[in-house]
Amino acid sequence: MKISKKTLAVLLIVTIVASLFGVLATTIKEEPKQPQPTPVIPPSKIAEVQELHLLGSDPHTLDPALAGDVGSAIYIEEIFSGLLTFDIVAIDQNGDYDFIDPGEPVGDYTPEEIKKVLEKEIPANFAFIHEVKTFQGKVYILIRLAPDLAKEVPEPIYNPDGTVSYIFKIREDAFFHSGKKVDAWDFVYSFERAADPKTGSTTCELYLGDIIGVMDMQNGLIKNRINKQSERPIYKDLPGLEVLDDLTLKITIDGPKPYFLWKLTYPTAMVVNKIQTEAVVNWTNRPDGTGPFRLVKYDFGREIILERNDNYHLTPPKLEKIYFDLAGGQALTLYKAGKIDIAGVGLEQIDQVRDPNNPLYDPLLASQYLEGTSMDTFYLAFNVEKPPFDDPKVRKAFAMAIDRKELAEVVLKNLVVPAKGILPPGIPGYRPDLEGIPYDPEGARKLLAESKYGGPEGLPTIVLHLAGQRATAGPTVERIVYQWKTNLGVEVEIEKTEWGTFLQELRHQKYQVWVMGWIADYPDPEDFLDLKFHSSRSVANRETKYSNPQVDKLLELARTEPDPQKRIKLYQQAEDIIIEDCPWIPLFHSKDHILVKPYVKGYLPMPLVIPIFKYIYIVEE
Amino acid sequence: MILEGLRIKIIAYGLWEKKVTRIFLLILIAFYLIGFIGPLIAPYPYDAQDLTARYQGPSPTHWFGTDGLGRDLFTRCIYSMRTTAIISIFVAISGSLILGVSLALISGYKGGKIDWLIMNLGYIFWALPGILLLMYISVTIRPGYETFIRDLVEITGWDWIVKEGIDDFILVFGSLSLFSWVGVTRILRSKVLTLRETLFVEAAKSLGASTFRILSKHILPNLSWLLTFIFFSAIEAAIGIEIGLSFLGIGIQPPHPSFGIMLLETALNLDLVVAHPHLLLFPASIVTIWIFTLVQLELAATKISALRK
Repeated sequence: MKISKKTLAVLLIVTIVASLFGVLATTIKEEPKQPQPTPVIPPSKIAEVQELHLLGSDPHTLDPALAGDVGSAIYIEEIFSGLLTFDIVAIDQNGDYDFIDPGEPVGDYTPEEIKKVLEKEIPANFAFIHEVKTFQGKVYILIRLAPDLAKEVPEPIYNPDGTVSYIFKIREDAFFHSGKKVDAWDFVYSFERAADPKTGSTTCELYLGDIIGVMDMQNGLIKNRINKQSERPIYKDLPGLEVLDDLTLKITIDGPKPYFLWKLTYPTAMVVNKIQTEAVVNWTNRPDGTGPFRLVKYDFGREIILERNDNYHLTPPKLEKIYFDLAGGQALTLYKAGKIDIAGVGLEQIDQVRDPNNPLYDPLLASQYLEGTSMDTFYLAFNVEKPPFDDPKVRKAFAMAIDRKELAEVVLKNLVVPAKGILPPGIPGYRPDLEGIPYDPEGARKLLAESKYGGPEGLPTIVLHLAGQRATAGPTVERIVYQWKTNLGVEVEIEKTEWGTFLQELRHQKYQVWVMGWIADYPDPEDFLDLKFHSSRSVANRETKYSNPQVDKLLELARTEPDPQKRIKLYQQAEDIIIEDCPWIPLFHSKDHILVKPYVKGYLPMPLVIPIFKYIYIVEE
Repeated sequence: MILEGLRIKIIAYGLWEKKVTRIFLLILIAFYLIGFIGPLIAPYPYDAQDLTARYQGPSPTHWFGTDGLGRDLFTRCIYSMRTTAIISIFVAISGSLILGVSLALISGYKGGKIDWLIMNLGYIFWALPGILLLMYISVTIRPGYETFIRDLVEITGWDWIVKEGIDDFILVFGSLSLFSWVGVTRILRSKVLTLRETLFVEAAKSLGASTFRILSKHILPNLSWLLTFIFFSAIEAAIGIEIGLSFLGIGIQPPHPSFGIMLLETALNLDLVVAHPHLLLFPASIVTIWIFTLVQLELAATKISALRK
């Protein structure tokens, strides 16, 4: 999933000139300090008003088939749902962890399962542990693949021709927000809609491409029922989808790929209501989904309101309403003023919550501070077909000229982890001791002189693109550009473009080099290496145009390799080649730095986009 | 009646005569001088970073302190003054001012259909929200425009256009002058209408003076006090708009220093201002003094010009 710098951990530092003085006034007003929370809290009383206020940003789209970025997915995953989902469990028995009520588990687990988790017994497949650090200590969260609209996670059926089938039983009590019952045909429609080239989904090839026939439909070889008006009526259903009865769906994929089940949690695989999508033009203004919340108001640039779905098929959410303020403002200021309940902490404010020796340190804020790792990689990417980055030596020279350790530790004050490889921590196959491309200005200059451009004088104008509003490029980019100037003698221009336009221009191959992030959709190395670097991916997903037959071969072998150890090895080999070829310069893996009000329980920062709001509830102070 | 020239000499002399305005004049000259010879006196390159000296307060080595990447704030201020100086002069001699004055003269003097056309066109432009349209123009044209500039630089070798950030401002103020000439034209036109009916214009006409001669020798000098006023306000507005636009991200692009960017980088983070007030204090004071000086000179110059009609 793409991440813009803007959406990074909801650290929306958005204010305009006029509101500045208003903000000043509000901060001066909130003088009286709240009392310190006591260390041991008895189970708290549930508050009467279950409302959550957050700072958000306008989603790029609310159509699950089109969404590929975090900013859209955080809303879509609450409004829609698919066959499978992630669920979590976090429990704190001793009451020494403020963000969870003692004895009250977060998540949909049975008591036996919770007991197992407490004994640190983790189910082998499709689950992983995530760690969150706080003032008091650490908490471990178990995240696992779980059924959503399906009754259970199915077992694979190995067909004689090498394909693999999954039979999904759909829940009888699953309804759309409008009241329509969900059946297998809805899934067939939703998948075919996503695969239809007219829908224009760029994510379909990544997350549904394994289903037999989907790629053919994407390439126009199979016409689908939506295209009845088309000239050549060879329309046909997807051969990989079969409706056994109204509530049973058989999905056949082209090989034994266990990670395929993870992909069904992605928005592209979520179910939409055919009656709405086919009939209403601007249907995403009031989308009809099956998720825990429904969209009741979307005022562009101002507000999004989500309301509880009372007919939700899983454990009903406790929150009645969630307000996302899209108008912006500085997160910490709004948080201190009590306007929002959860806020990200930025580079300039981190000293207030982290360092007790800092004069600005605020113990009250520090007690509300959470830190969690995020499974993502922020990187600089090159278009390997555009000069001067068509020469791998130039790319490598640019990579060697950046001191990533200094960037992470000094410029970004250890808010992030320096990246050496492509896989982030938490993904199987991540190597903390990986060498990567070293920082070596001398070698970089030599390499640049060896390239076909012969040195900094021979290079054409280079423009570094990044997404976002307003003029500041931020310390990261300014530091990188400065290091290129001093270490290589290359002057690089910076250009900032709004996120939607940025993606569009990127798709049209307009950029030479740009900054972007990629967050894991599911914990598997395939999500990073295969999706972004296999040469069969379309330009929308392989923006660098990088292709290497050796990498392709390793990735294809790894797709169906049954031995997990060997599979990881194959991915690591592919990663090594990619690092050496340098289509990306991995910069850092980010962390979530979040402040949560003490009356908000059950919120924990997640390493990837997981529908988390259904676990949150408000208690009385 | 003084009938020749725009009386720049008289205004300058008048400003120099009074002690208070002389001080303001000297400050303004100093600011523009620093702006133009900035690179010669700046102690560091404008983008030189030093991570060992981040967020330092004012000291003998860094007079105005340093910012988050250890860049010398004094240097950045000087370079920002350079940007502001270039922009304000650029705006004063081009765009809305020339367009506005010439259209007002034609419209007011010729009258009839031309007048109707110019003024109604003006009202249409006036009805459009300038800054908003500027943003649209900036967002939609910028990519193509920048490719054009890059090609231009490659062909001609004028890389200073990009290095100084001039290209950004040609775009921004070029599009701004589309909307801002209307105000100038409206004020001047009404004055031209009155002057057209005066006896000295009639006398000139009867002596066989050409339209150009009447406009340049008889009408324009009588507008000089208004022109003084408009000239100064245009510069003030340009400085303000430059800062505002950079603040909104459609003006000059980093790492080129500009007051708008410097203010934006700090003012959006109240915590940063509290911890390191020098980051806001120095750039903000320079801008304030600059505009205050201009306002004072504007008032004085307009007065001189109007009194000595």
